[in-house]
Amino acid sequence: MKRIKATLLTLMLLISCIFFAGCLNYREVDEFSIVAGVAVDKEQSGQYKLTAEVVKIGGGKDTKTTSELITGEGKTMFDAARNMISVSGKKLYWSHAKVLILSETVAREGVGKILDWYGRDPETREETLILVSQAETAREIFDIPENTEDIKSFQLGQIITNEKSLSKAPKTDILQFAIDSQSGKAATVIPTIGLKQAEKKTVAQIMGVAIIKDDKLAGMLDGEETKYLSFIKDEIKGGILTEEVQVRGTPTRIALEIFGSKTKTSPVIQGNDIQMNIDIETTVSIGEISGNGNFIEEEGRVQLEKLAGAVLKQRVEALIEKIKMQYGADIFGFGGKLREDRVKVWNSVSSNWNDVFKSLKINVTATVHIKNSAGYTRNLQESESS
Amino acid sequence: MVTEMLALTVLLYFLLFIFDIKPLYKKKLWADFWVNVTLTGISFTVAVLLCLKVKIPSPELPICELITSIFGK
Amino acid sequence: MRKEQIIDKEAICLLISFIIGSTLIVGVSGSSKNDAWLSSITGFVMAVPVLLIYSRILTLYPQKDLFDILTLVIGKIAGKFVTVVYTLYAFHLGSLVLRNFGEFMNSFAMPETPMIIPLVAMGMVCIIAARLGVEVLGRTTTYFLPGIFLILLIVQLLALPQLHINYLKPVLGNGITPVLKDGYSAFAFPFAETVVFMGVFDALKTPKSPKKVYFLGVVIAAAIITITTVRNIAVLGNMLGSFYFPSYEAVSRISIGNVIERIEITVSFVFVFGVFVKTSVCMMVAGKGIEKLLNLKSYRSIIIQIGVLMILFAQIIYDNIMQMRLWAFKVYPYYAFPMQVILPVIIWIIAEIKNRKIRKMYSNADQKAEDQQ
Repeated sequence: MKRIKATLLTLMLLISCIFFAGCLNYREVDEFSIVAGVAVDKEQSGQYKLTAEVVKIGGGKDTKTTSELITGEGKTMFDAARNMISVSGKKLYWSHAKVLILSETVAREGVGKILDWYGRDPETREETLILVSQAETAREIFDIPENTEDIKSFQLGQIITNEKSLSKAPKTDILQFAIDSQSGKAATVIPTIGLKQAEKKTVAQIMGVAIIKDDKLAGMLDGEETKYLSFIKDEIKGGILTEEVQVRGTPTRIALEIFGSKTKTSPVIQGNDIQMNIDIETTVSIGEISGNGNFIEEEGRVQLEKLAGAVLKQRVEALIEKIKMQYGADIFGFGGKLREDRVKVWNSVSSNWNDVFKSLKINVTATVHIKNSAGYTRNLQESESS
Repeated sequence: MVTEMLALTVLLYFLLFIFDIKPLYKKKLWADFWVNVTLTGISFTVAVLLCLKVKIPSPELPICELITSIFGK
Repeated sequence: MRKEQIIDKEAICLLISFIIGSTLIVGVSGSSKNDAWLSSITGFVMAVPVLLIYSRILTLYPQKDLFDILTLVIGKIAGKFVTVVYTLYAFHLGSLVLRNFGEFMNSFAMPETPMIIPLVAMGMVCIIAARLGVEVLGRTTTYFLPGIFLILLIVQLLALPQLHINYLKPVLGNGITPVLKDGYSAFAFPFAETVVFMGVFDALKTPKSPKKVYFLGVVIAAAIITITTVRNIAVLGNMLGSFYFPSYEAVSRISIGNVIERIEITVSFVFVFGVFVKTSVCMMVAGKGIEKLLNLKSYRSIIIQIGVLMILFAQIIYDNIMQMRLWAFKVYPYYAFPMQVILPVIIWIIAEIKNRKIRKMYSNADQKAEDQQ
C-alpha cells in the first residue's frame, strides 16, 4: 500500500513538472519590437496611419541602439497598431513608448477618440507624453535625418522633461489630458512640436501649445505666450523674463531668471457677478544686464521690480484678452477653480460657461521680487566711480 | 485541446479520489465519505462540462435580475 | 483533538487583511466621484452598529461559532435552514473574491492566459490554508501583515509627488446623496462582510475580546482604505471612476527619477495576499457550515471539494468583467443585506431574551437556595 502511494506521489510530482513548469505564454525579448514613440496621421482615405519608432538593438562589439520606423494603416488606432505586425513580423511592445505625436489634421478632428485606445489598453502607459505636430504630418518628426545616435522619441521625452526650466511647453501626458478634458467645460492644451532649420540640418523643437477646445484643435500659442499661460496656471518652474529699460535714452535689456512663482487664483462673487482674482508672486534674480544703468542699488532695483511686475501683468492680461476674443476657450482652468471653491455658483453657470468666460472680469496683480544678481555685485558696463 | 483537458481533469480527480476520499472510507467515516462523494460528483460534472466548453448558466443571474428589477440599476 | 485557538492579535490581523484585500484594488464605488473617501468613512460608520451586534452575539456565546449559536438560539430546524443560508453566502463570497482576482490577472498581468489557471493556482493555496486551519492562517497573516503595511506605507510616500490635493475639492460638491449611496455600498463590501468571521471566531482564546478584535481590525482597515482612496483621488482626479482597478493605475503613475517606477506590482502583492486570506476564511466557514449541517467529523475531510467547487463556481459565475462590476457595486449590497444585517439582528434579539431568561432562572434559583438556607 505504501509503495503504491509513493509511486502515485512521484507520478503526481512528475506531472506537475511537465504541466506546470515554464510559462503558458512567454514572451522573449527578441520576439517583440519595443516601441519608443508613435506618430499618428490620417490619410485621405480616412484611414489612420501609425508610424512607430522602434528600438533596434545592433549586435557586434559595441552594441548600438538605433531606431527604425514601422508604419501601419487601419480603420482605428488599435487596428493600425496591430496591422504593423504584418510589416515588422514581431508583436509591438508599447509599454516603453515615450511620446505620442498627433498631426494637426488628426488633432483638428478630435483628440479624445485617438487617445481612447492608448489610455484603455493595459500595455500602453498613461504617462506617455502627447505632442501636436506643427509640421505637415506627424511622421516627419521621426523622418528627419539622424543627427545623434539617440532614439528620437527618447530625446523628445528628455526635451519635455528638461523644458521645465524654460516654461515654454507644459508636460501633458495621456492621463493628465483625460483629467483636464473631463473637468467641467475647460479647454486643454497640448505642447506642439515643430521642425526648425539649423545649420543645414533639420531639428525638432518643442515650443508653444495647441489649444484643444471641445476635443478639437482650435489654435496654437507660441512659446512666449505659453510662458504667461504657465504663470496663470501656476505651473512655472523656471524660465526667463526679459525687460527693456530706457537708461539715458538708450535701451538696456535685462534678463531675469525665474526661481519660483506662486499664483493664487480666487473667484470673487458679488451677487450675480463673478470675478477672478489672479495674484502672481514671482521671485527672480538678475541674470543678465546688457547695457547701462544701475539696477543693483536699492533705487534702481525697486524700479526694476515695479517695471517687471507691470510688464508681467500687462502680458498676462493681453494673453487672457487674446484667448477670450479669439478662442473663447477656458484654457486657464478658471471653471475648474470656480467648481472647486464655489460649487454652487459653478452649478448655476456651468451650462453656459463659455459665454460666462468670455465676459468674465479678471483682475491681475503681479509682484516681482528680486532676490539676487547672480555672481556680480554691480553692472560692469557702469564705471564704479560714477 | 479538449481531450488533453479532459484527460488532465480525469487524472486529477483520480488522484483526489485516492488521496482524499479513500482515507475516509478506510476510517469508516461514513457521513464524511458520502458528503465528499456527492460534492466530488457535482464538481466533477461541472469540470467535465467546462472542459467540453458547455456553457453553464450562472446561478447568480436570477438573483441579479430579481434585485435589479426591485431596486433598479 | 485539541481545539484550535488564536490570540487577539492574530484575529485582528486576519480581519484587516480580510477587509483590505479586494477593496484596495477594486476600490470604493465610483458614483460619489471625488467624495469617495467620505463614502468609505460613511461605510465604516454605518458598519459600527452591526459590528456591535456581531461581537455581542459572540460574547454571549463564547467558544461557540456561528452555526452552534444558530442551533442554540433559534432551534434545530430553523437553525439548519439559516446554516444553509450562511454556508451558501460564505461559499459565494469566496467565489466572488476568487473571480475578482481572476479578472485582475486576466486584464493586467496575463491577458492571454485562460482565467482558470490563476484561479486554480490561487485556489490550491487557499485549500491548503483552509485545511491547515484557522490557527495556521492566523499566524501566517501575523507574519505577513507587517510586510504589507510596509509596502503600503512606502508606496504611499512615493506617491506624494503625484498628488494633486485640489482634486479632492469641492467636498460634497454633488450633495450628500451619492456619498450615502456609496457609503452603503462600502458598508456591504467590505465592512459588513466580516459577518463571515463569526464562523471562525470560536477559536478566540479570550472569551471577552470579540468587541475589541472587531473594532481594532475594522478601524485599522477602514483607515487604510480611506487613505488609499484619498491617494487614488488625488492622483487620478475625475478619472477615478473610469478604471476597473484604480489603485493599480494610481500606483503606476509613480516615477521617481526614472529609477523607481513601474512599481504597481506591489499593489498586486497586497491584493494577492488579501485574496488569499479572504478566500481561505470563506472556504473554512463554508466547510464548517456543512460540517455542522450534516454532523460530519471534521470539515477537513471535505474542504478540498469545497475549494474545487469554489474555483469552478468562480469560473462560471460571470460572463465578463462588466457583470462583475455591476454585481459588486449595485446588486451585492442588496443581496447581502439579509445575511449581514437582518439575520444577525434577529439572532441577537432572541439571544438577548434567552440569555436574560436564563440569568433570571439562575438568580431565582440562587434566591431559592438562599431562602432555603
